[in-house]
Amino acid sequence: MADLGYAALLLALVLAVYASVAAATGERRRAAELVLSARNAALAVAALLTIAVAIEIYLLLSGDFRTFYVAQVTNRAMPDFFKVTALWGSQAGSLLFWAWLMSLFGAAVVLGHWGRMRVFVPTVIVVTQITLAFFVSLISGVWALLAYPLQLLGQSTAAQMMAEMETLNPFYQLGFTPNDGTGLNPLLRHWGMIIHPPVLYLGFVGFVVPFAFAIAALVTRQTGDLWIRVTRRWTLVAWLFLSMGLLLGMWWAYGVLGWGGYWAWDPVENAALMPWLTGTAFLHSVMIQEKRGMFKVWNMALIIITYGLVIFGTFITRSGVVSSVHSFAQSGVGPLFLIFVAVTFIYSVVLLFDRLDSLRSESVLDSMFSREAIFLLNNLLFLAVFFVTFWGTLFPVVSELLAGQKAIVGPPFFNQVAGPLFAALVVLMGIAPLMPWRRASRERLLRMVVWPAVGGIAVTGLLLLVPGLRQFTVLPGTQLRLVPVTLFYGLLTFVVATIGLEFWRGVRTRRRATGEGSLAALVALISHNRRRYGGYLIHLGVVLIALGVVGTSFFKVETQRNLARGESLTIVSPLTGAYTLTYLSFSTLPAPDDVRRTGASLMVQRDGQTIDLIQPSHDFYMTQGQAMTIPAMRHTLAEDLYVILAGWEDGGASATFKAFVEPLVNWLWIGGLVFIVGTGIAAWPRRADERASLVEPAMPVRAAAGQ
Amino acid sequence: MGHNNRRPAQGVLLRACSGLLLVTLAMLVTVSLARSQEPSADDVNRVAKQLSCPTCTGINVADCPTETCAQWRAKIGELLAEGKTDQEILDYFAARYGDHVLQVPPTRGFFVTVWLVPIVGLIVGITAFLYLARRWSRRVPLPSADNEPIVDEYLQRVEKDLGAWKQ
Amino acid sequence: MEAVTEHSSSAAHFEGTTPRRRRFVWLIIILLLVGALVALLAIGLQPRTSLLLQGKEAPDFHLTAFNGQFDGQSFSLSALRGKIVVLNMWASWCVECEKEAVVLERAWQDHRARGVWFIGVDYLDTDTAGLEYLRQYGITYPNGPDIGSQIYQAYRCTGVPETFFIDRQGVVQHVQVGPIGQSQLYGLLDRLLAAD
Repeated sequence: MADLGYAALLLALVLAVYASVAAATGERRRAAELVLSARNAALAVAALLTIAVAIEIYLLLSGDFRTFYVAQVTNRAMPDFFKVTALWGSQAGSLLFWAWLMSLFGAAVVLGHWGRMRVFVPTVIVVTQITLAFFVSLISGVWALLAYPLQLLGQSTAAQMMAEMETLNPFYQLGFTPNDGTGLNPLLRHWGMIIHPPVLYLGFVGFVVPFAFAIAALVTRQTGDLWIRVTRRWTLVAWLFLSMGLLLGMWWAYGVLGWGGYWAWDPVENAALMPWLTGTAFLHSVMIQEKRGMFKVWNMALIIITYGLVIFGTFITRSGVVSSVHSFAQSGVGPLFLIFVAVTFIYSVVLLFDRLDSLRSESVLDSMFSREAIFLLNNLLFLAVFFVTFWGTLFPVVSELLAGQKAIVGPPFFNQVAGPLFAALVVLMGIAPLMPWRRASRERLLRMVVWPAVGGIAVTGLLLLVPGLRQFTVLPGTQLRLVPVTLFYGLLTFVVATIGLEFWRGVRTRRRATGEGSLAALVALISHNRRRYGGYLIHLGVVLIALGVVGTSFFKVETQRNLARGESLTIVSPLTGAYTLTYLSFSTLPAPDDVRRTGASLMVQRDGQTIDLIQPSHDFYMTQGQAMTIPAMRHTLAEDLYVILAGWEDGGASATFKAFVEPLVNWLWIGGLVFIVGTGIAAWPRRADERASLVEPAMPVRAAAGQ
Repeated sequence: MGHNNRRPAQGVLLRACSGLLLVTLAMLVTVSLARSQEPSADDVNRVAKQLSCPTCTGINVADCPTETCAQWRAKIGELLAEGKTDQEILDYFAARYGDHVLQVPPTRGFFVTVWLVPIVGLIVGITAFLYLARRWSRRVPLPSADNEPIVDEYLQRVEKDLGAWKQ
Repeated sequence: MEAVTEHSSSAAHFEGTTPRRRRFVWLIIILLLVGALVALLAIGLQPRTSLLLQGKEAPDFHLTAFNGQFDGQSFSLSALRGKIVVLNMWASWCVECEKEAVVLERAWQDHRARGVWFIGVDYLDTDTAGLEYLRQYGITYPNGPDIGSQIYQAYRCTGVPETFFIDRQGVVQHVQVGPIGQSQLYGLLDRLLAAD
């Protein structure tokens, strides 16, 4: 069975290489049959990898421990469901999973665009299939063939690394059958951690499509906004999955890891954040190219960088070059990924420079007070955050190699440097929808800005002056007034007001035209302008997320105490007052076979009234000898009460608890949901009748008077 | 203060009680002062948060469950009890175990570049914005039609299928 | 599928477009930056473990001992030139180190008279815990804390325990990653002593 899977893998590799060669040759020689053959090969590759994945899942479920990967990631005691999700639990399987997703995307692209955009298809096939071939090659054991030549050349370390790659094959057979497997890292058995990698991978892999079309546009010199419009939904969907992946990761870290936070600026987290940053810039910047034919070079550069960062992120995660809690074990994939991303990036950059002539801007920047100028600033700000993240992530490597000194760059650096940049982006988020194209007349701008600005100033003023609202702006436990935070609340109000105004104006205009009721008008407004109002919803989601981030960053309260049974501790929330937590009991809780789960229950009281009973727990995974502290949480809109069981003595006669109050944290998740809904709306495809009814000009409107 | 109607025995009792009360109070104050010398877990965590666990990556010493970190927290407690300030404790750990146990490298020597590079980047970014804005406002625009003559027929089909964006 | 040929008279009637040479310079700058980054990361990927020190000159170290009769005394590799030095990295929280603790002490007792020095380096440890560990295993050879983790970094260690066998000329003859057994330890010492 495993042999069959391996055969499918090898065949997929051969066909992927064939597809790229055939497509490239077919385009050069204008041989349509070759391109057709390449297309069919791409479809076959997807089918073969599907078979390989299905076989691997079968091996995992049936507990075939002779297969090395199965022995690595499963054990007998593991529930079946986790055995399936163990597919992406370790290096070999996750690479297979990634390759499978990419093959599906590659097949979907050739199927979807065979009828239209055929000018791009050959290059798109070449790009997607070469990348796919690279990923499949890593797990196919072909690189191990290099071990002998490298040994002859005296490169024994390199030779050894290549030889070890033979075991990176998900179908690699051991010389014996172990009695039981090792099993998955306990962290990966939580359902949040189960869907987090697939969602994230969908986001990463999704970006190969706009990248492939961008390269195709450069190669064929069709560098207008054709390639953008073709890939618009792909980009949005890939970006949606990447955003969801990041949000899921944050939510999981918060709910399961038990350190009271959701983002640690860990190198692997940063590796996923960086393509998201440049991808968001790309998403915005292409709108300008569609409208006014500007930012062409920017857009090419941004998608090349974004895709480069996707592969680079994989490199960081899997190579161990920067140590991280997330890292896979070090292996030969590191150097190979580095070479691949370097070659891809350099080729793309050279191609871009060569085709610069075809990327001339079609319009002029009319004024600094225009949407175009704001978007330029937007691009630069996102790049700035990306650069800061990049620098902080790689500084330990730089420091060790250039100065011989080990260094760690922790959250304080990133928070202090990236924080203000994010705040600036929020400012732009508020102003940009109000900025007209080309040139803003001062009166018009003032008219648009005045009411939201009044709202923002009012909120800031209220927070500063009203005594009852003091706790929202004062650092807990001190008298220190956080003025920047207070101003930021005003800024968030401003942004919400601008978004609200846009909706209100739209509904009002529609009602005047059609006489509909408000709700019907709102629904119709959104469904007829999905991209625009979906975008506004996304921005609203960002505002809510920002609210949650501010609350937890500045107003979090934490305490740790060792309590005897019956003893209490008090923790004071800056927003709602004091909680009293009383340690009631200690017990062993039901859990799967290989887990020993211990829980302590605490009574939560406020003003003498019992309001809740919570039970933080401690899970000990006996096979791996690893433990997880699972927090108990009490959720309200204002805050979370978050408690973990940090340790205990004498069978629970006394126990150490860490309690946190996380103000406004649930607005993070609410904002995340609004964000996702907004993206879904923006990405929703047009209905067939809608498309037909629109009368299309031959050329999109350019350089004419904007709005 | 003469309340002449108070009987002498009551006066003695009153003085004895207040004396006893004073002594008790003094003892309580001393005990509570001594207790307040002993740092609470929160005090230890406040300092521990600023240290990076050297054996596990990416966790600070307050959150880390390993034995090393437990020993270090105990050490922090000792130093706090001796009256050391937070910064002195951080300096002690950096000197004892290396600069890489701090959450952010200290600003000396090569480590200054951690902060320097973003500042330089900011200057470069602002310059880039101003430069590009100026350049783009002086450019002569390209007439629209030149870009895609061959895909005209495709383009019309694209427009119909995808729908061009209308404001 | 025809690729569009470059549109004619492109450069001529535009003001403010980048001349080819300036473009080329920018391209070279970008490629150089990318190249530098790749080179940096490639070097960063090289395994740079202590095993690489085998056969090379041992980095100098300075240590102030804190146990028993050696308390307060300074030790350095340069001062010990001409002696055989067994440098052992350990920590009180290190489970594997406990396996070799007794063996090391016995070897010290047996070989001390022949000019073999055992030096223990306590990595990432508190003095109290370290001294307790030494007391528990009855270790009497000089041990000291690794101030600033300098020795650990100089010897490119990636964990504890690691033991370095340095000959009379200051060359690392053997690097032991992980605990060492008695027969292997005695065999190595005999070999080092016989090499004179």
